[in-house]
This record gives sequence, C-alpha cells and structure tokens, in this order.
Amino acid sequence: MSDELPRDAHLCAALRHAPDRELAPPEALSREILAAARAAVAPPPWPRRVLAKATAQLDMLRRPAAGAAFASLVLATVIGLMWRDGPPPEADAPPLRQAGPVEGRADERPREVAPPAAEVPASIAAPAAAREAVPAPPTRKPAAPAPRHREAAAPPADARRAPPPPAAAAPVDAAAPRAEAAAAESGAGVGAMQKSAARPARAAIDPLAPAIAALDLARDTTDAAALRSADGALAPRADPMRLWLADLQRSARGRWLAADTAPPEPATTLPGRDGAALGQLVIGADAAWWQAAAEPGAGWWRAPLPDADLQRLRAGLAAWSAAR
Amino acid sequence: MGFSTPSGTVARIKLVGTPPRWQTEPPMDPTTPDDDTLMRAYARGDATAFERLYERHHAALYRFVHRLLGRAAAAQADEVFQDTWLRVIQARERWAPQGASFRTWLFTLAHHRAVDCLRKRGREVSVESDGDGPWAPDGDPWAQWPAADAGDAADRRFWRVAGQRLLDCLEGLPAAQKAAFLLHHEDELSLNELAAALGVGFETAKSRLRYAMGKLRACMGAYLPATEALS
Repeated sequence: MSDELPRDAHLCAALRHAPDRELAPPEALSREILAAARAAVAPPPWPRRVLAKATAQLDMLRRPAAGAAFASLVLATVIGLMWRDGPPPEADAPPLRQAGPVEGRADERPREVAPPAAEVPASIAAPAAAREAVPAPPTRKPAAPAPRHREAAAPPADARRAPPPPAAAAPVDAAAPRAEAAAAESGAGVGAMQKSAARPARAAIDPLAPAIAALDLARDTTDAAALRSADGALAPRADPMRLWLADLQRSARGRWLAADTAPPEPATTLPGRDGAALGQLVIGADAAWWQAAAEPGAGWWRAPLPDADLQRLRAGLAAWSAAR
Repeated sequence: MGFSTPSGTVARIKLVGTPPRWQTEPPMDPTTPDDDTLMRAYARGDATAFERLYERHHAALYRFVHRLLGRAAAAQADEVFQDTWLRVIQARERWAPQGASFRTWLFTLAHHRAVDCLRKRGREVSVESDGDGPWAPDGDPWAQWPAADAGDAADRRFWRVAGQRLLDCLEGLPAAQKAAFLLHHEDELSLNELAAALGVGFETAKSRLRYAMGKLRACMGAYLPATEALS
C-alpha cells in the first residue's frame, strides 16, 4: 500500500467548479506587490552605494593585517610627497634651509634677483647667520670653524663702516643672501654652493654669491695661518679684489637680471685663489655684467647701475686688476 | 439506485472517475524556466523573473488564502496575500531550494501567515480534538454524479452548485484540516510536501488530510439529495 493518499476526483472536480475559481487579487494590490519587487532589486541611489562601500572598507580595516597595510601605504605616501621635489631641507646643508624663498621649477632661472639683507660683505654677515643656522655635518666641513668665529669678532674696519641696508628690503628676501654667506662661512663649501647654484629656484638669488663664497673659502683654507699676527690674532683683511666684489654685490643688489646677450665690452676674468677663473665680469657703459665660470652655459647676468656706481666700480676694477 | 442526474440521462448515471488535473494538463514547456530558476534569477536582480513567478502563482495563492481564511476572515485575505509575496521578496537572497519546490515554499509562507491571522482573530486552528475519526461512508456517496468534465449545460450547473457546496463544507472544517485538503487537492502538494508545509510529521499530515476528506465527503453526500431538486 502506498503512503500517498489518493486525491478524491469528485472533490477535486467540485473545487475546480467552485464559484471562486476566477477569484483574483485586485489590480492595485498586484501593482503594489510588483512595484515592491522591482524596487527591492533596483540599484540603490549613488549616495547609498558609496556609503555602503565606505562602510565595507572601514570594516575591512578593522582587521589588523589590513590596518597595518593601510598604515604602511599612508606612511609611504607621506614620505613620497616630502621627497617629491628632492630631498627634504633636513637632508641638505643646514644653512641652505633659509636660502630659498623663491619656489619654482628647477629648470627656470629667476628673472629677478632678491637683494641681500645687509650692506656688509659676506664675511661680516656670517656670524649672525651662523648663529641661526644648524651646524653642518662634520664630514662636510672643509675648514676649522674656530678661527672664523674669532675673525668674525674682529671684522675689518672698512666693513664695519658699511652703510645700513635699505629699508625697502623685504625680510624674506633678505634672508637668502645672508644664508648663502652663512653657507660659505660655515664651511658648506664650494660644492654645496655650486649645487645650490644649479638649482636657481632655491639659491640663485645673488649670482655673485657663489664666487665670493669660493673666494672666501679658498682664502680660509690657505691663508689662515698667514693672516695671524705674532700674538696669534687675526689680521684684518685688505684684499682689494674681495672688497671690490663686496662693493659690486652691494651696488647691484636687487638689480640682477638674466641677460639674453653677452656684454659688448671685453670681459675681465675674476681669478680664484688657486688661479682658476671664478667667472667673468664687465663694468659696462650702463650696467655691470657677470657670468660664473661654474655655469658657462647659463648665460650672463646684467645689473643696470647708476653712473656714479659704475665709475667707482670701474676705477676699483682697474685698481685691483693692476695690483694683480 | 433510483437516482436521476441533473441532465436526466440514465446513460450518464454511472461511476465516472475524472482524472486529476495534474494528469490532464499539458506538461510544462521544457524551454520555460521552472520556478526555482526564476527565483534564482530574481535573487540576482531580474525583476521580470519575479513578474513571471507572480503571474504563474498569484491566482492559486489568492484562492488558497481566501479559502483558508474563510468568510469570517475574508477581509484579511488581501493583507495575507500581500505579506506572503513581500516575504518572498525579502527572502530572495536567502532562498534556496532545499528539497521543496518554490511553490511549496510559497504556499507554506501563506499558510503560516493565514494561521497567524486566524489566531489573532481567536479562531481555532488546532485539529487535536477531531473526535472519533474520519467519517467513512458505506459506499460511494456520489456514484451517480455526472462526469466532472461534462459539456452539458445542466451538468455544468450541477458542478457549479457542487463547488459552492464544497466551499460551504470547507467553512466547517478546522483550519489545519482545511489547509491540508486545499494544499493536497487544489495545489497538488504531495503528502511529504504537505507535511513540510504544515510543519508537522508525515503521519500527522496524512491524518489531517483523511479527516478533511472524510468530513467533506460526508458534507457533500448530505448535499446529494438536494441536487435532485435541481433536476
């Protein structure tokens, strides 16, 4: 005997003929149900989709492995952003931290040159900058710092007579040449200055500064003993070329422009202590010209000057050229 | 038996066993997706699959709910019907054919919802006090009824009256027996499916069905003399 109970054919027939056979749900009810079914599978609006995805991502970050991976990614991104334009300032020579008020692409030469902060030679400005700057690493110090501090304590008399800086000098711009001078005085060296000169957006504020720094550095390393007197004190420096360069630097502050052409007058070579040329300069009819030997392809700098300054500089140039 | 049919033709006074509907209806087109396939498609976001499911089952389900609730709770039929489909919608992603077909699951949902509705109305839904046992007639009480698929107008009228009588008889059944009978005879669930839909064991489901059929046969047999008045 089968477990299945057979259906009663007469009862089934009576069911099929029952008057409620054609019973059907109301149209409105069917529409409502079908609309609910369609709405249930319809894609949600984008804010809810985004919220749902964000919630899912946050839930995933609660797992330690995923959280650690995300933290590593964030750290790598931050470091990458810091080093995007090169090493961070801490990785450079410390004085160069203050040398770059002008930001720009590395391949652009600034058309305007900011004036130096003080009307004093770089050797005079050095102590103040040295106090502000963080000392350079020992491996990058080519010269002993102690004599330099002592000589800074006794600056040359002509340097002390230097006029005060112009009031119009901007504080931010003023920091740049001071920092460059500090770079030279604190022993950042020619290499550091040439490196900064190769990046005009940071350091090419005063085109004469690298040459002056190189001149001072060479003088420190070779003449320090010769400059000492019998009692050990440092003798004041009276190098006419160095003083003349300080005069030129002071007079041309804020006037340097990148020149498209070479000067029409013949150029005078500015010799270094070791005999190698530091650059070429011209005191022309209406302007001073300068081209650094370290960057011959970079072109000439031109600083329009008043006639009085030009005459004085022209006379000074003739004097120290004759002395050499 | 000296009984005349509504049509008055003696030749038709004989035992006529009409084959069940599930044996007479044409088989489903093999290219037509079955209910389970459509439900899976709907769970994946295909709203048209749900529309096809609804089109396929909405009338039978609505009828089942109406009959199960009876005249006393007919006002809740729409609500139960809608709730049943909304539960299908909500459970689309969890649904999985675990031995039972979609149709069985659908009618199970409707049955549970209807029973809840009847309980809230204070209607008795248990069959535990069914009395002595199913009524068993001495013979076939409708041995002389006309064929169910007769084309004669008088016979059709007879069956319409018989159908109405059956609905009246269903009103007198407890809800659990009514559900067992309707699911088995109208919606063609097997006994196993019936047991699953009612949430009872196989023997319990079978017992409920036998009680229901016996009572309906008695009820319909008692109606039999009245059919003579139709002739």
